[in-house]
Amino acid sequence: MKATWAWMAAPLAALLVAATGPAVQAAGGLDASKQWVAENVPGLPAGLVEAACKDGKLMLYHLVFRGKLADLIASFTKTFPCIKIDTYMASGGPLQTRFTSEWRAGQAGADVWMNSSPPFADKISKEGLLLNWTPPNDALVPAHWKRSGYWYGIGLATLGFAWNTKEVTPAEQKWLESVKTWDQIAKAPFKGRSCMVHVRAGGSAQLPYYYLLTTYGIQSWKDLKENLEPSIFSGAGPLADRLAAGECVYAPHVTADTAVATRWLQKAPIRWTFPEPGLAISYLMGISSKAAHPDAAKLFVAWSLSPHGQSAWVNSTGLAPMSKQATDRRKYAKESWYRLPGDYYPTDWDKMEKALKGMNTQFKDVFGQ
Amino acid sequence: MELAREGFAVRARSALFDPAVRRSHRLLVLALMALVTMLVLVPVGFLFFGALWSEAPRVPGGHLTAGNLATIYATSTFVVPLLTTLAIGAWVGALSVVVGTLLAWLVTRTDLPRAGLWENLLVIPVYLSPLMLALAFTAMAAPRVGFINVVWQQLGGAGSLANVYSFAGIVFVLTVHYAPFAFLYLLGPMRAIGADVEEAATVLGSGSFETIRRILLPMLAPAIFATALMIFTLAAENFAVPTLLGRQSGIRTIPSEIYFWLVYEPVNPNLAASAGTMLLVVTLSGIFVYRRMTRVASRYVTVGGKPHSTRSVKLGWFRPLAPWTLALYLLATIGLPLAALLYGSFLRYISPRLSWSLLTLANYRQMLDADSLLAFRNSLVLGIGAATLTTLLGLIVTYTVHRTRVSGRGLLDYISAMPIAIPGMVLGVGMLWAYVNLPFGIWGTLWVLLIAYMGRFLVHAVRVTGNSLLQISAELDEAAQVLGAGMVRRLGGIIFPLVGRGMLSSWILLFIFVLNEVTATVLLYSSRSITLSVVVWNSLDMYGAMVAFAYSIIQTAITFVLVYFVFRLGGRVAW
Repeated sequence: MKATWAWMAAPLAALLVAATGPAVQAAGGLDASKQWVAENVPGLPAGLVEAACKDGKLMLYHLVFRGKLADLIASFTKTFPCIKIDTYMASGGPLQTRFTSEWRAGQAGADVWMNSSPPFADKISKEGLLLNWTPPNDALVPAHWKRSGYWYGIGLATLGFAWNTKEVTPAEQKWLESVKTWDQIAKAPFKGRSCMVHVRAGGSAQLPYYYLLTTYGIQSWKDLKENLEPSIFSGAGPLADRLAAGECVYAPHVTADTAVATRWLQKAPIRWTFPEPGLAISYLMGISSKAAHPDAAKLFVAWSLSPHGQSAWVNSTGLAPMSKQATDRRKYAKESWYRLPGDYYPTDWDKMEKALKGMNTQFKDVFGQ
Repeated sequence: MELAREGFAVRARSALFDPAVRRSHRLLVLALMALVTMLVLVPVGFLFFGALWSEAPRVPGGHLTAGNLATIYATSTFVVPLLTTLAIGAWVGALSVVVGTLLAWLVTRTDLPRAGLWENLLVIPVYLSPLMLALAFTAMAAPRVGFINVVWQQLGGAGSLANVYSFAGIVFVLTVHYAPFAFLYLLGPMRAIGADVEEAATVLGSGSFETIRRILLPMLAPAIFATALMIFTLAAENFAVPTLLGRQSGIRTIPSEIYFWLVYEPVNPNLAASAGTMLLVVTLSGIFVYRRMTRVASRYVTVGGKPHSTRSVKLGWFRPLAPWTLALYLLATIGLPLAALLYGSFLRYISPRLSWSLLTLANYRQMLDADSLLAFRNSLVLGIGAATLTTLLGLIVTYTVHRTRVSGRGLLDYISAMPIAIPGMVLGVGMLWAYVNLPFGIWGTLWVLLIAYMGRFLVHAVRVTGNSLLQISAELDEAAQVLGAGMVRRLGGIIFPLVGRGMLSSWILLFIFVLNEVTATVLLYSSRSITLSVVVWNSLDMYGAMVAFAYSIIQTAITFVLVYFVFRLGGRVAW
């Protein structure tokens, strides 16, 4: 009989502990959370932290990063233990389709939605899919990487040229180290040993083609074709793998801090350089206007824009910092050869998107694909 | 005796026209139609809507337009990708069926030593997804740095011996993957053919080759045609292999175009939906031909009321060579790629060099996090659940199509076949549009994926069980019907045991399909319903191919063990 009671009491006791445990912890953590907000995001409404804790959770739809955002989430929940972050990860296109389909069907999907396409973020902002809310630390994000009140960049996928260090001669290495601007990239001595990403492979693929076309004209593309005879890849990931393998030796433009740096961290013989001006796309986030947990979402966005949040994004995803607020502790950023661009090219995202159709045709004409 | 048989046949036929029987059949067709409509027609319908609408469903301001279809069908832009897609499908379909038929014949109808062992080994290439096979063959045969080319150069060869980035490379990789499907599809029908017809041919003076050409192949014609059609469509709608291997040599296919429209900004799901309809016409025409072929089903009956034995053709001088030939085939198609995957799974990054310093266990360590363990569990639950339910549903659909005379049953066949012709990624969009409004909080759970998998793969269950059912004489079923057995009793007592092997093949195929399905899953999963295929897919982007290799090795091992036990179970129940 005693044993029976013990068996029945044990789960009840566990349930009691489970029910009361977090509440005690949250009560203890709430003051610390409020204090952190007061010190780091002054201007955030006083009741937001409590309201966010009441939400209790947050659904983050994010792009595919090097890690699983575990460090970033740990960093946020350390400050705000009352909020649990749930995630859905996909590349840009599926994130757009999924988020908009759910929103329009009235499903509470994402609270915070990420993407890398400013024109698409602008489009859905105008349609009312993104919440119009300006965090008090809005000014910490440079104007080019945000649309105030709707979406904010949290880090940059910066483009550079990359090469396999084991497959180049000392003379070639010297040439690579001498390159400073984008007009030089087509003059590389790697004919038949180069690789590029197809112009249709997303914003980060389009940007260098767009920049070269609008700055130096179609001849710059023809030079790439004639001087390099590049292999064309369907995305930066497969290209980076083949660059690491030595199948191609030189990539004149590729998202270096993300795809290529991942292979460098795996100790692949790879290096990269960012010519001037810097070419980058921002990874951005906005709050769903139908967010089921709007206060938690606001708190998360405000935290992400704070110096602490920007640093967490940069150091856990490998993206380059978009402002001086972030402390860059990425492993490769400490290398002597690593230097971020001084200035970034002010891309007109709408013009670039409108130019894509024509660029596809021109790409086919020049590169035969 | 003959009179008794005829009398029985007349009674059986009249039983089919019995009003009560017809009513129950009509009800069955209605119920099936409702289910198949929900699983298949609703998402496909959303796709057609998307193809004819200017915006995605539910976007305000959208209007009817022929613009998307005009872009696809009325411009020359997609002629070359369409022809390339059809050519890939045709080559892979034809080669796979030739290889699959030959292998099935060797295993089932000859005195091949240890045929049971070979039967298990020959299906191994199916366990790997086409994407993983493409990556493995890239490691093997990439120009300059592929293992084969490195060895070639070290032996003094000039240039590259093999180039996987070519049309031939694409066809080869897809054939390696799909030939075992043909083998699995044809095992049941090949086995079901009794020895009597072959013996009769031999008595009348036919040689082995003549018997195969004039007896065996014609009797297998519907199964071979259905298999070729299935593989043609699967290869044509495959996006991973042509996208990964074709881009470097400028090969564009319809699925690779669709991939760009759906994955990279700016996305255009409406245009993708329009392009997704391209293969539908080809596949539905194929189904039409198949239905015409099987209209006189009795022509292909090989299992009648009498027991039969399977004839074992003597291989003669080739008998000792046959296992070596098969071993060589396996070495080229799965041994070397698996070795490449296994080796790659321990590498820090892809490299043609062999060095201890490149080795690491880090790729396997990635698998120990909570997400991966949840993904393993979800994939197993979905694989087992979807394979079981879809096989049962497929058998009931195929039974209704071939064994009842209710009007509208043919429509079931066409509807269930639709998803095979639509690239998975586009179908995923249709499913997202269709299922995002599902009631009872189903959206975001495993149930959505289960529904999606059943809809996407029902066609395979219908075809595989259909191949087996066609070879079973309707007499057996009709006899039970005359004796008063209801449909459930007939299915359970007669049909299930006789098409058991076909069901087993179907189950295995579906389990593997579900385990590897990623293109639709990436749009439908949630953090709670994440699957192994999604984890592998994302890890390609997150860490490169090496971690994906490690996942693939584990996934292959799980599939192998599970399929082995299912085969054992199949053997134990004496199917």
